Parts: sequence; structure tokens; C-alpha cells
Amino acid sequence: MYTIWTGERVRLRPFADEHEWLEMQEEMHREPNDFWGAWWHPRAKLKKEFEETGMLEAGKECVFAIERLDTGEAVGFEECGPCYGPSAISGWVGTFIKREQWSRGFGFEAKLLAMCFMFENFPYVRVGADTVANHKRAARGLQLCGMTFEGRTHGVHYTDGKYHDIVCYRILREEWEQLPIRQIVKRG
Amino acid sequence: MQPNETSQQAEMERGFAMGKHVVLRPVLEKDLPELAKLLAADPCDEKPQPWTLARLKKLYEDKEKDDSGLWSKAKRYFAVVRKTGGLVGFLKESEDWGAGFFWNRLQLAETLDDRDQLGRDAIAAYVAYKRKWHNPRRISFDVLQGEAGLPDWLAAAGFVLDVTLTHQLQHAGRPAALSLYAWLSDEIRNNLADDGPVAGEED
Repeated sequence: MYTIWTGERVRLRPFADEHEWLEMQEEMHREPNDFWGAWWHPRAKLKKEFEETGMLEAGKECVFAIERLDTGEAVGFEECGPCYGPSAISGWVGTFIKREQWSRGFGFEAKLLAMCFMFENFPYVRVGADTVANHKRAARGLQLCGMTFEGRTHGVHYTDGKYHDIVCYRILREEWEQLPIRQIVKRG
Repeated sequence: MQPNETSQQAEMERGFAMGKHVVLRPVLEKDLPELAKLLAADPCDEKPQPWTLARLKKLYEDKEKDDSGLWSKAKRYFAVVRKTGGLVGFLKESEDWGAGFFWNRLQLAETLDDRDQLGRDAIAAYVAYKRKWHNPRRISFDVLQGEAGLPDWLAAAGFVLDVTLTHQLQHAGRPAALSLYAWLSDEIRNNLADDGPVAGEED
């Protein structure tokens, strides 16, 4: 299984060590996300997860650091995993970029690299992603990645005093095979 | 009351959710052999391991956790039984962090002559039970592409189609879509943000 996926702006790579993993999680979650709200994972739980798998285990949820190619800085993380267990034929991806690093195409490319990881390593026929309906930038980013809008799960997310829909997108293997990222990506 | 009426009543199933024809209750040991078959036949099951009676018994008798593996804070299995006795299906309920969001799967045996009647009854009884005891905000059910009966039973209980996810899982050797049908409480309906369309939605 390749664990480093490099594009033109960022690469996905394993977290260098437990310290980098913990620092990233604590920095990203110490205040509520404008769209997803307040999440917190206790350090002990995060340490246990990292000790067990380094956050990379085939057929289960994986988390990569997203590293800028020009500065080497870790600017966020990419999550991906199977839907419906290890014999799944579909998977999901999710991208979190530090706020100050937005609008530079890092999340967009990280998502494309994650699709390469998913489709090249596993027999998936579909990769899905979703976001909150008021997070227009994220929804637009999913569409730009070649994903198709599939529908909404209504009222399933509560944030900022209101219930919001979650909007669902997907890309099928044959659609991903047509994307230019396949000619750009370097695997290692 | 006649003596035979007393014995008849004693044989009637009781449970959390009481329908006209079926009862939903926690799984009892006597359910396990039939339940193992139904779980193994569920096309929407995640199947990290194949379901067997031995595996089910192990979960049922799990002493590692405070809760049984079939009845935990996050996930619960209800046996669906005829009032007159006999397991006909199960309902798997998952809950999101106590938020009042319930994600479900109903599986009834395929060979029942009165399957349609029992399915409608089971869904209606379950919703009434949740509304009476748990203040649900949102209840949803997974429905496999082409699955007979369940969409109609859900519609009859006020559920509407949320989303259909293409090629979400494997069934009968082919990729199949999975649909989500949802019931929303007034609390959600009255506090639902109008976020407008998103990219690709208006196409």
C-alpha cells in the first residue's frame, strides 16, 4: 500500500510521529468549527489510536497529514475509510484544512489525492463525501473534484442554533479514471 | 375470565413497542437461533465477520462491557415477534451521542404470508414507542435498492425519501444503491435552516 501521494501543491503522508498527530488534532479542534461545531477527542484516546496503527490501517479509517510542498508545513489532515466494513465496495473521504490556509487549493488537491489512495488501493466502485449545506465552499470544492451531488440528509446536523441538512456527493471509479490527477500524482 | 383465557394471555408476547400484530422487544435467549439466520440474510449488514449462532451468543453473553453487545448505548437490536409468539424479524437501532437521531434497519423474514401487514405494523409500533418514551428528533431507515415492502411501510408511517446513494454496497454480487428514508420531528421542521441550493444541486 502506497502511503505517500504527491500532487502539485500538497502531499498526503503519514503523520511523522505521535507528537505531530496530537498537535494537529488539538490545534484543529480547540475551538468550534464554524460549520461542524465543537468536537474534542481526549489526548489519551488519540494516543491510543496512534500507537495501534499510526492512523493507517488497510480496510479501516486512515488519516493522512496534508503537507504543503513549498514550505513543508502540515496544513491539515485527510480522513478516509470504508463504508460498511472491510468488505465494502464504497468509501468516504473528508478534508480539514487550517483556517489560515484556506483558498489556496490545498483541500481540493488533498481530496483528489485521497481518491487516488482509495481507488488504487481498494476495490471500491464509489467514493463519497459530504458537508453541511451552509458550507458552500466545501460543496463547491467537492463538485470541482469531479463529484456529483446525490441528495440531502435532512435536518441531521445542529449548529449555530439551527438544524442543517448534510449534502452528499460521490464519484464512481469510471469517473475518477477520467480525472487529470491520475497523470499528476506521484506515489511513494 | 375463563382459565384458558388466562393461559392464552400468558403466552402473548409483551414488549417495548406494541403493534396490532407484532411486538418489538429486546432480544431474548430463545430468539438467538432464528435471529442469527435473519442477521446473516440482511443485505445491509456490515458483516465484518459472518453472522453465526456462536457469534451471536458470544455477543449476547458479553460480560466485557456494561451493556450486552445486543443492547448498548450506541446500538440496540430489537426482536420483532408476533403477538402470538414467534420471531419474524429484527430492528437494529443506532443512536448518535444521545442527540435523538436514530438510524435503523428493519429486516423481516422473506417467507411470511402476511409480511406486508407485519412490516407496516412494526414500523408504526416502533415510531409510536420512540415518540412516547424517547423524544426522537429524527428517525431514519436504510433501504436497499429494489427492496420490496419497506419503502411503502415507511411512507405509511410518514417517512420520506432523504437520499439515494449509488453503488453504496454489494448485494447479490452487484453494486446496489442504498436509500435513506427519514421522519423529522416538529422541533427539526420548525428550526430547519434555509441554506439554499449547493453546487450541483440546481443542475
